[in-house]
Amino acid sequence: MSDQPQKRRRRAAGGADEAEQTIPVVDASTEETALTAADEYPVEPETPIEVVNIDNDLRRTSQTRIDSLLSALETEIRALPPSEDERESAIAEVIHLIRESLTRWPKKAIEMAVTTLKANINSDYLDADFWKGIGLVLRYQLDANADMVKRRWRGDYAVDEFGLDYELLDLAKPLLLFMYRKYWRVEAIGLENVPDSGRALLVCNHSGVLPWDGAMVGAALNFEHEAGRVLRNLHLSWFSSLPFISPLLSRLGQVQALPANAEALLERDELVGVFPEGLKGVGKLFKDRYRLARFGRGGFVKVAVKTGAPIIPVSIIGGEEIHPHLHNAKSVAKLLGFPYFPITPTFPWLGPLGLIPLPTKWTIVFGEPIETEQYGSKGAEDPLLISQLTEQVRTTIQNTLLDHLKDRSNIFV
Amino acid sequence: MERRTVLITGAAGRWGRRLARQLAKFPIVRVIGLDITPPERPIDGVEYIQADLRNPLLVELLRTEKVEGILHMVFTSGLSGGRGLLSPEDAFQTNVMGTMEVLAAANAADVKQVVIKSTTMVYGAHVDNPLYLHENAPLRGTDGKPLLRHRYEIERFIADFRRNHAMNIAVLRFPGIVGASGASSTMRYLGQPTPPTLLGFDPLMQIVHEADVIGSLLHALVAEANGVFNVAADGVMPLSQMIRRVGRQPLPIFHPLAYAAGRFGFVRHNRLANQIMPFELDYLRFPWVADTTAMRGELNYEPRHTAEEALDAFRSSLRLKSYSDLLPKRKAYDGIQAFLNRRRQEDEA
Repeated sequence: MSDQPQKRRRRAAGGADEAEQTIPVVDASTEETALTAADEYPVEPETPIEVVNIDNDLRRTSQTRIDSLLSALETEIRALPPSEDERESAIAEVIHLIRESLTRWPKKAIEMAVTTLKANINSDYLDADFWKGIGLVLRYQLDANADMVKRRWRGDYAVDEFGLDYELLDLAKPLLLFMYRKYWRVEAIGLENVPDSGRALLVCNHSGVLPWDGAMVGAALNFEHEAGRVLRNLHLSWFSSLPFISPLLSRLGQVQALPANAEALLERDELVGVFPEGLKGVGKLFKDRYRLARFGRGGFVKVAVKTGAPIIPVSIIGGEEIHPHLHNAKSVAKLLGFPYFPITPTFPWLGPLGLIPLPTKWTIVFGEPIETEQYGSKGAEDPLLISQLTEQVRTTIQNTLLDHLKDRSNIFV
Repeated sequence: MERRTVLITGAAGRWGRRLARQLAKFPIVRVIGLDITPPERPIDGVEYIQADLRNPLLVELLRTEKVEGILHMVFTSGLSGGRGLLSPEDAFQTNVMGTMEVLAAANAADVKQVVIKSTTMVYGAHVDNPLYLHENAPLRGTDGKPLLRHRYEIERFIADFRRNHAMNIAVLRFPGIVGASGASSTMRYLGQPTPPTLLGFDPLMQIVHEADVIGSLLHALVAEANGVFNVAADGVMPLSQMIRRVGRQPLPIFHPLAYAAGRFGFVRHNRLANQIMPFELDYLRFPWVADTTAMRGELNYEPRHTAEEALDAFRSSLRLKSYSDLLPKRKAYDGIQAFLNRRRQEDEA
């Protein structure tokens, strides 16, 4: 431990050749190697595209660093001599628990916590040092939280060009994580089809009365994709006119669905999620579940062709049953100024409790990207090409939905 | 070398005065200041002409003085300034008709370049605005306060004028102007103890530093820019963050109440109410952020200050507001210090 600062200095001095290194495989045999491995900042090769996503990159780098710290800890726990009541599953659970509870901490605190845990893994829990360490970490977290409140009170924080506030997104993560892992037990297939960097347009089927599907696709990309990418969903213009909802969506990285906004986002190499079924999709009746509605006027394809962004068809299975939409009370909707007013088995009968979705089992399939670069920006003016591509995307999603429905025995399992 | 002549209209006003001061520093430029009121503190090297803008002799003046560029800075709110209260009709005459006549005269006198200051408010704040409004976006800020209507009329006239005349006209659209001087509607709004906002709405906002207003106007003059350009500082932020950054806390008001109050004539035309809320409420509810790619590209202007820097400068000036009597002394002290330092350096050299 004592030669750590020295090492850091050496690395800083000869940065160029070290930058090429990736994280070495963690060796559990000695603590020294594990620490060194964890201490490396993996530097990704520079591409012009990544310059735009500085925020994203910073996050990604520190995330990989924490991941390597955690895996080092994991190997250590596994290397412990098993006591009588410890089984493999118990260890897995402990590690999972540590990972889960650490995600909502500031990065610096995670680092300290993991180091403390690692140092004390063999020691008695009655050891004073152990509790001192825990106390230190807790105090650090309290300080960090108090500091955050103070900073926000002074207006000393940053949102990105489209209003995304990463600090707020971090606060929303525990809920998303719970819904993603525990409530809907989402299984994400084909995440490798989403690029690690650069632009892409994700086209998804829409349903479920409340737009939970967009949040879950975003969660899949943030929690499970290797690059931990942030998805910018395009939402109905109607939401932008609603108090509280409009700023909340904006701070969480959602953007109003306008062609100009989609274009600007893709030009800045973001991942953009669209739901071309729009209102017809989210307000779909239960009897029409998994039958795709009309895909707007193909505006999303036009934007993709214009910006040369690949289109990734995304099929969401399970989302269409969370609120069985039995009847649309149009007159009530008109009275309230809502686009639709759903009657479900629980809403409006149970009041706010009726807003609790059913815990169905979800599968999200990310399809193979459809490249649009070869058509050039002129292709956006070709109505035949646009309608063909629209139909291709729509058919891909519909077929994937059918393929997965075929094998599904129960919507809850 | 022959000196080049630049005419600044509204030279006694807030922006005209500052532009004149900057331009007068260049020995190659001859600055003529035109205003209906005499300047409070005349600037060295600037020739002042006290005259009305709408004047048949304007063409003669431009021709005989061989004016090459005009910085048209006349825009009166009808309320403030030394010339007292103007009727809405007089304000319209000065703002809209005045601009028309300046452009016509400039064209007749073969002036090369006209630069006009406008605002991104002309786009209007609407729920279906894209987050970044390009210069060719439709101008929908028409139902606003009368002054905004004037800006809109001017912009429409210039767009028409361009079609038939080859003269270079640069129109720069600025968002809210923030800096250390404290004199703009945005700064008066942000500087209140609790600036009112609309409950549940927090649109992304954009501002520009006053130094960049001056800088870009002069840049457009020198670079002979032609066209409409949005000029704004880098860094958009939610309205509430802006307010907090200048050390104030927002006071959210339930929006139907605010709109209802605004419908009453006695509130709408009340001087105090207009001071508290200088904007149409929609501008605190929906986005009206302008795209600045053309500013960097075609206009080739790089703003010197970010939005954060502008707000921080304003906050510092707010903190020192009650010590304004001590500031000249402080400034004089710095001046002497700088002078002595320069002397010392000269002696050493």
